Amino acid sequence: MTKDSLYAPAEVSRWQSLALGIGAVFTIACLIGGYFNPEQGLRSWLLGFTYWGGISIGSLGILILQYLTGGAWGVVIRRIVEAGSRTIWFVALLFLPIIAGIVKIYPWASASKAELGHRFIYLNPMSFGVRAVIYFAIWFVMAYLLNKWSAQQDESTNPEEAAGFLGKATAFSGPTMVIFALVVTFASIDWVMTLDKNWYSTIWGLLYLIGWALSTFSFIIALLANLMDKAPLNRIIGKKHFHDIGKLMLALVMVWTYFNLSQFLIIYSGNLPEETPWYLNRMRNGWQYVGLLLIVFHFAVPYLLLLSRDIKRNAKWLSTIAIFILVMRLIDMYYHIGPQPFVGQAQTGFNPSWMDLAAPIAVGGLWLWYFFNELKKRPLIPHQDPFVENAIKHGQGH
Amino acid sequence: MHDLKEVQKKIYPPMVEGKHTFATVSDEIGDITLKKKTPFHWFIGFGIAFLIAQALLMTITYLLAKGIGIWGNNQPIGWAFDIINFVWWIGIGHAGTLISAILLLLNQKWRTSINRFAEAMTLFAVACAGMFPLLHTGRPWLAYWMLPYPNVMGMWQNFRSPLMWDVFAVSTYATVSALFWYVGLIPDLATLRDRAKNPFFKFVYGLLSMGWRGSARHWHRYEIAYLILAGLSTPLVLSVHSIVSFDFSVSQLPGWHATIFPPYFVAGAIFAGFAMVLILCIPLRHWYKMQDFITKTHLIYMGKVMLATGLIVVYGYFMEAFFGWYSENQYESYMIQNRIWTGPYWFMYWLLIFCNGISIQFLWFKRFRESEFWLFVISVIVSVGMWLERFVIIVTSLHRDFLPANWAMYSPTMFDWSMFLGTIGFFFTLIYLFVRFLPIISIFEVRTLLPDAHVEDHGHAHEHVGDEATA
Amino acid sequence: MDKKLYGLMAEFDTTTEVVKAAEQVRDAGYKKTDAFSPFPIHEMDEALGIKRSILSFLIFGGGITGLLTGLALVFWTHTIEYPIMVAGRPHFSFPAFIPPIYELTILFSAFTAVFGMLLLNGLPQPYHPVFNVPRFNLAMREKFFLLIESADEKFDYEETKKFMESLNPQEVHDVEE
Repeated sequence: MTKDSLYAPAEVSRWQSLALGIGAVFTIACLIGGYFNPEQGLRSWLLGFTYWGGISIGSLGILILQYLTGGAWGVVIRRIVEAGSRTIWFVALLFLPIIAGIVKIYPWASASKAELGHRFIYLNPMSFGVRAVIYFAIWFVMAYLLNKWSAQQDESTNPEEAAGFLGKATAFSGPTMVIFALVVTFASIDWVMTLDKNWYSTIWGLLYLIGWALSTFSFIIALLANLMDKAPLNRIIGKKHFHDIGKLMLALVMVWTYFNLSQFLIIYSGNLPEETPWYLNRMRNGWQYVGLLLIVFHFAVPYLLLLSRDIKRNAKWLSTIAIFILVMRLIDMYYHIGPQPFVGQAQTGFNPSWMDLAAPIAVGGLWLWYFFNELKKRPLIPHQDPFVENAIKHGQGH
Repeated sequence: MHDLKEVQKKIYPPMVEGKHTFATVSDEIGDITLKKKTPFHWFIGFGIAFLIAQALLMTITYLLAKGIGIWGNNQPIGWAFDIINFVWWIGIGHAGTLISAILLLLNQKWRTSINRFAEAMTLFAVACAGMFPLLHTGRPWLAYWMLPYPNVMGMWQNFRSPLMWDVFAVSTYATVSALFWYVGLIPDLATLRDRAKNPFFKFVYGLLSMGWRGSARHWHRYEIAYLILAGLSTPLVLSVHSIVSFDFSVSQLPGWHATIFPPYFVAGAIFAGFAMVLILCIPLRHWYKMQDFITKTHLIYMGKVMLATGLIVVYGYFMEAFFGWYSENQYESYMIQNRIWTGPYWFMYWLLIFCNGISIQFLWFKRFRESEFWLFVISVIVSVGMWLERFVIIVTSLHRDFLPANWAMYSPTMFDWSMFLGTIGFFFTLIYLFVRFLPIISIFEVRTLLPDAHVEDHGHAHEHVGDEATA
Repeated sequence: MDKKLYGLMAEFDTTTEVVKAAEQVRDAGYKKTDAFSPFPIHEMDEALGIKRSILSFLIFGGGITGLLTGLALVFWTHTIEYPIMVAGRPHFSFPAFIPPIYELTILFSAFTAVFGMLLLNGLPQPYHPVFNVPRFNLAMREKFFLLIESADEKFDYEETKKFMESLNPQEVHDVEE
């Protein structure tokens, strides 16, 4: 394989400009909207950030994971998740509005010491900010090192050398996965769970680990399906690759359901006054229909469709389901963030704002612009990897 | 191209070592049951296990005569050894089917050599587990009352109760595991039937193999059924241990009521199960010279899975402790404090952390992963640790409940111990019988690992080396 | 020949040979054929022209039956036959009923998978003519066999035997009924 022919096709540049255009327009719209209604604007931005930041962070997680598990799917998607992981510092920039609007988003930021008790040392703007810096720093270092070794592997001249870089990345990925899981746990607690300053759930971190992984796999499928009819991926991606990633998506849809059901069933059965309000807010005033929507379209429909082997092998079908799941992921995030009463309010009705749609589009446009920029920088396949030939051949198999 | 193959082989070593053909594979594994003289150590091991199993029989007899008052549990510690042992055994029992099913779905070739006895282990462990709640009912002869059937009492079960969920989950699990195991055995029983010289065994194996003849049309349906069974077993295993965790978590007791319980219990089950598989397969591969099929690579992989699942379990401990602090809830905070340092059982907690948290950290290092001795030692420590985990969850949460006047201590009686040890003897008795009478490794699946099993020059030639990589 | 002939069976040594031979048998137009191997060969399905079994659909049906059975059981028990209030929850408290319904779904699917497979395969089958070939006791050990039944429309003892010998087997056996 020659290196030059492996770069992303010209269409990616076109997508990139399109993303920037849309992102810019919607960001301006959000700025205007946020000026008149800062609470709503910031919360919508948090929604957009959690959603797209999740795909970036999820890319890093899957990059680590595929080194640990091995397998053809990991080789063919490695460059996509690498590009996703290189956007971490850009995601940190997108986080700045949240830091700036901390008092308007989080009820604990303006709560008194007496109200919070010993949690005060955890729930205050200073330690929130410091923790965020630590999270992004850790992610950045992980992404930097893994990307560096992968780039060096591209330059290697013989299989031993290439295997050396693969070994390095694999050895690094073991302990890194542990740290990554912990950082994601605390990030998701900080950024989303503390919207309710009293409620807590021990499974929360796992919900986000799994949710973000599902978003990322769906994003990858949607991207691959759009790249596979163009050079260079047209001779690399086969239906078996889609089958493998489709299986992973199916598994994640099931695990997402499993975690959510576990959390709900335990809180429902326990019926404790400090836990049920979180679900009560989400089960009345119209929010119950959003929950129902999630059960049917985040679980039942994709689950039944993905059971079929033929659908998993059909790029068009699979990418349609993937885009569908991506939409549901946004609604799932919205179900976590939207029903929470605003700071200083006891109750909230069903009050979707136009910014809840505009902000995710704005963040998405900006993020995709940077993502495509990174995607163009390297060949779309780790062409010196010792298993790249096997991985490609695997995809064409039956 | 040649050194590429070498590089790949170094990263993913072949799963069958030595020079083997279809015939040698069939004979070497089949002959353990058919031809070779029963080794002397088998009699010794079986004898010891069988003797210990008698303790179980005697305890049960005495229990039936006197009632469960002979056990040490009493208010407020209404659940103790019986449930600890139930959860411990059922946890071990989860690994077999999960290993077998999930690795099949993930197309991991290394499952082939360990799935058979891992599944056997599952069945025997579930048998041991089932005894405890059954006997804890006090009148096990009325156990059928737990099943929904129209009865003269005009009463029906409460399907909202996690204990009722348990009845459904555990009995479904036992049934499906047995089916999965038996379906996997059919082709190998046919192999034994065709090779057996003794007419009695030939007849029995013939009966059990149901006339299997290796027809391509049969294989076609067989593979569909086997794969779907694996697909059903995986979520089943998750659900069963989750339901076991619901026994605790849907209540309101601090230390039990935590949303992380289901995944953390499942991870603990796989963790304990892999430990038990290692405990069984390290001696087995030596006694029966199975090193070609259960290679060092297998042990290393199992070590890695044990490390990964162990870390998830430790993540669970950490989350419990963190949220105990974060909750700002006096009962939660007290529970964690009491468990970790102020309570009378603090040493159990730290022993647990040592067994499940610290000991596995050695598995990060190649030296320990590649040493059979250390793997065995760590597996034993982990098995003890998983028992302690259930002790900490059950006893330390119960002994300090909401009402300080109720607070008490728990101490097991002689019969608690004799029953627990008795089930261990019973488990190993069954394992010994299994090793003697059935093929301990899936013969037909090992055949598919041999290079000769692949069709050559057939449009899509298979690459043997690196197959694991592309799985 | 005093006994009725069930068919002709060719014996092969390797996977590749038997799959290639099976393709030729299929191309020659034989329909009532079968292959025997000590492990599943995926290429054989195509080589012999075996259609995908309906088993997966049966299992799906089994699962749906289990689901409905579970649902009917808990619904009927708790709302019609024996409505009793526990822990202040409604009579039909669906979230709490998910576990038993789920387990029954799995149980019914698993039963369909195993018994459906055995039934479609016609097992248990205590007698089958192929076992009359003495060499067939190697079929589950190392050898591969290809069978053309005498019931096949194209079957003609002399011609079929000649054809099978042209496939380059180890040996061609007569299979007596």
